[in-house]
Amino acid sequence: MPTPAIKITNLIKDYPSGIRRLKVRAVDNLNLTIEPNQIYGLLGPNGSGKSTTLKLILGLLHPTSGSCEIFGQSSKLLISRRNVGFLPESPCFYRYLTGTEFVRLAAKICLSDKSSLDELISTTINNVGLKEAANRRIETYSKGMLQRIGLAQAIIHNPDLIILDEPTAGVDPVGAIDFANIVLNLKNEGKTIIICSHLLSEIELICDRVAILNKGKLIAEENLNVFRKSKNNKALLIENFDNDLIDPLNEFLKSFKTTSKIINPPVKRLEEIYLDHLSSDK
Amino acid sequence: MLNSIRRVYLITENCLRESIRQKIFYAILFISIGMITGIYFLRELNFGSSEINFIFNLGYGTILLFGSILTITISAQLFFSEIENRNAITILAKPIRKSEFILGKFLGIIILLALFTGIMISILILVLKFGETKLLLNNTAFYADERLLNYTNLIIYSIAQWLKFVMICAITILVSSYSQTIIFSTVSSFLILTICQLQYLARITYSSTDFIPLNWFVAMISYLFPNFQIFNLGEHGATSTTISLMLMVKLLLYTTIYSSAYLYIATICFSRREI
Repeated sequence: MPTPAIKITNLIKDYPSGIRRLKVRAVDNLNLTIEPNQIYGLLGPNGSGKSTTLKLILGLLHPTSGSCEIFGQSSKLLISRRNVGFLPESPCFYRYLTGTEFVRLAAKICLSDKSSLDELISTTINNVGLKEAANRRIETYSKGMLQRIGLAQAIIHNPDLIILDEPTAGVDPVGAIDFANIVLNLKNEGKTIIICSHLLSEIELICDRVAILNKGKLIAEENLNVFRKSKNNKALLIENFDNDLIDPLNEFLKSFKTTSKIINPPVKRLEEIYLDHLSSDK
Repeated sequence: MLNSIRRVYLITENCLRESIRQKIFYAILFISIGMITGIYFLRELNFGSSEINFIFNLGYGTILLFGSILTITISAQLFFSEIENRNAITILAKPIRKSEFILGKFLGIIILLALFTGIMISILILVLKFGETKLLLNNTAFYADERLLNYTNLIIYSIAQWLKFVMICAITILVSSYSQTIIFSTVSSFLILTICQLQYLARITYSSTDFIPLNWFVAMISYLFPNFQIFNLGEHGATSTTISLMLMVKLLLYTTIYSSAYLYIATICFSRREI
């Protein structure tokens, strides 16, 4: 069995809050195992503990208790981060650097071998579709370009685990589709990608597996296909289907005294699954 | 170890590049240059002191004042911009320690301060040399062939000033490592600078008192905050004899010990901070 990309065990993170330093629990006894070579979606409303979980995975925060491993190594160890690329939410980066200079800085921090660095930087920037703007200062970049250069710095050292926090927030639909294609290509190269996002339609398009967090707790985790089919949904293909037939067919199904009904589309949308789980958690 | 040095070097290089591209650096640099070159034309207002010493004292004071302002503002600004622009989180998600990050920033800033001090003292030396040459030409019979100024001392004074800026930088980074706003960092650092500058007065005033708790309190303050008065070698004047090497070694050690302690505490605070 391959070593999990991430293994989180009984993870708890408390923050002191206010003058009395009362504890607020951001992550509550989280257990999660993410297998390699999949695109994993981490979902949840604001304040659900997604970003805190990512920071704990990256060793940027110390857990109150519990542990987190990246490819079998404790995330507290510096060595565990050698194989990780991270794109933060709404980054600005070093505005006075050009795109190439910034990616070079990231490469130099992560890679000790400097041979063919120029070629590697050039290839990576091309792969994220930023060739034309590579030598422009980052302060002149649009939101979409910032996300692309952010992705370039995250993957420059060819990590096996890539963590993307809200990667397409504020990016136009065409840019978001481009971004999704880049992520799918990375998966095809054998990478594990964790995406933390509010844009469920995108998660739905590319993720293999999703976890839903609420108030720091894991309330659901499953393969997306299983999630969608978890309520005995069956898809029937009907040629030249007339939408006016939906109501009569539902009436027909009712006559069998069952709860069956026609839903459109035939599989459950991730948004519905997400809202179902959140409402049942309340 | 080598990898660690390489990472610190990368952060230092980037911090230096960032600080050199800050507008505030050029604003303070040009104001300071203007002040020092302008002193020559103010020498009539010398209030009785000798012309050369007047130029030296005012120039030296300008370096101290604007150097301190530059140190605090640029240290606080660079620290907070890392957090606000999410650069800290991007860089620290890579295989780099928080201590390396703090040390790299510190080294980047103190190299910039060395550059600032170097430019300022060079201009001050030029202004002094101009004044000295004019004075010698006008009074050839009185001064014969000798020079009035000890230029080695001027360079040593500027090194002592730079060491003081190094300490102010370490203090500002320490305050910024737990502070939540840039204003708090800046104001607190200026207050601490005032304490460090004046703490010797408290020691002189209360060292002979019989009230033991007050003695302890003053002693505690004097250990917590460095005594900046010992860096003011410029009070010896522009024409004094050369300062001993041992004194400079002592100042270097003093700066290293205090700065290391402050940076160590800053690393602990920064490690516990949510970025």
